[in-house]
Amino acid sequence: MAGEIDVTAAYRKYGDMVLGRCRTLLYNDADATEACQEIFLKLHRYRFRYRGDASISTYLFRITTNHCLNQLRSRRRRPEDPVEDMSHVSLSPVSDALINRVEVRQLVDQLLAGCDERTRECVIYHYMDGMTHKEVGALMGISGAAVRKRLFKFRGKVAHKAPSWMAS
Amino acid sequence: MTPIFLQYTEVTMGHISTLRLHKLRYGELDPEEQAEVMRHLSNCEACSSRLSAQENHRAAFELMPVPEAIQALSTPSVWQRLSRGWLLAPVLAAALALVVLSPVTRDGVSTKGASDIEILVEDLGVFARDEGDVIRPGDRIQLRIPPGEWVEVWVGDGTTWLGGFPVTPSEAWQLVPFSLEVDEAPGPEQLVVLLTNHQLSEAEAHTALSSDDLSGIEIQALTLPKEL
Repeated sequence: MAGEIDVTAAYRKYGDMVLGRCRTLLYNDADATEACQEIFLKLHRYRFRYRGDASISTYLFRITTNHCLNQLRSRRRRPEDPVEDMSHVSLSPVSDALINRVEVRQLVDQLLAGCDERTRECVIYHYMDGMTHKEVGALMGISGAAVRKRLFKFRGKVAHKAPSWMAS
Repeated sequence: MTPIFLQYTEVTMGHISTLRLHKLRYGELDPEEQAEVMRHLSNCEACSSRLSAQENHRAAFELMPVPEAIQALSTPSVWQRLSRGWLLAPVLAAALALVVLSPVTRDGVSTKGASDIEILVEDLGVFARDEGDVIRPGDRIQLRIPPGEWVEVWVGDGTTWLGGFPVTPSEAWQLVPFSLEVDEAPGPEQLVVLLTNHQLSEAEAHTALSSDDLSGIEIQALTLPKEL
């Protein structure tokens, strides 16, 4: 029910999902651990805004995705800590994504290069997590057709730009 | 050339999404959906492997201690303590969707032995919720407190105190030397304001919220609808 999230209990139950997703998206154990904690603290701080129209697992899944994408975007803005230099960092073998770790990085890097927030989410949920257009739409509160449209635009964009990572 | 992940997606369409695999483990799928997922898993090595990865990670996660900062959240929050301190009137149930844990609600202002506090919004003036006023990101908010022997005003968001601000005992309304800029986070803003006629430490201000002894202290919880 809205406003009744027991955040500690939520951590015990869903912390593995949040931490695993942070590791998949952030490619870095230390950053992932810190992000996971921040996400639950954020959940606590804004617990009154949870309206109960999605399950807590769904709610957390989306918060985690956005939090990690924002983290990566901030990291990219700081030249002293670019995403490109993180390849040497160890990563626990946690990924349950539909695409492998290298492809996740390629996907995220491409997204950070100039997609709006909603498109970023659509692409991650669809290509990395294997959600259908309808599932993505339900998660984001938009129609499946709107998701399809955003993915179509994204495909057109990457297909014509020939990004450098495509060579690998 | 087609990007690798686009090629891959054509192959992987029809698999179980990451979130559904999590929900399967958490027992959150309805029976029909669960049966569908189990059928897929029995024939799909890729998804079975992804589920195994989740289960292995779960096992490792359970061995990890809960971070102290998260454990500390088990302590009843300010709002939970407030709601226990004052009985919720059944007639206020309809207000719960907006002000979930506010103990007593009147035009978005909950009080504990307090007279009203005025909320001033830059470029708007006195905030009047009953006239449909809303706050927006970037708005600057100030508080004006009623006459009294107040020497300090504590302002918080329901979880932590932003600070205790000194004021002077006065027979007139006065501005609190504090302002808050509204952020872009969705949902209404929640503020807890504590007026006291003696100086308090932060811990004492917290304790006061759950105490029945309100000698020299008045508390208000404010809910301000926000429009993004």
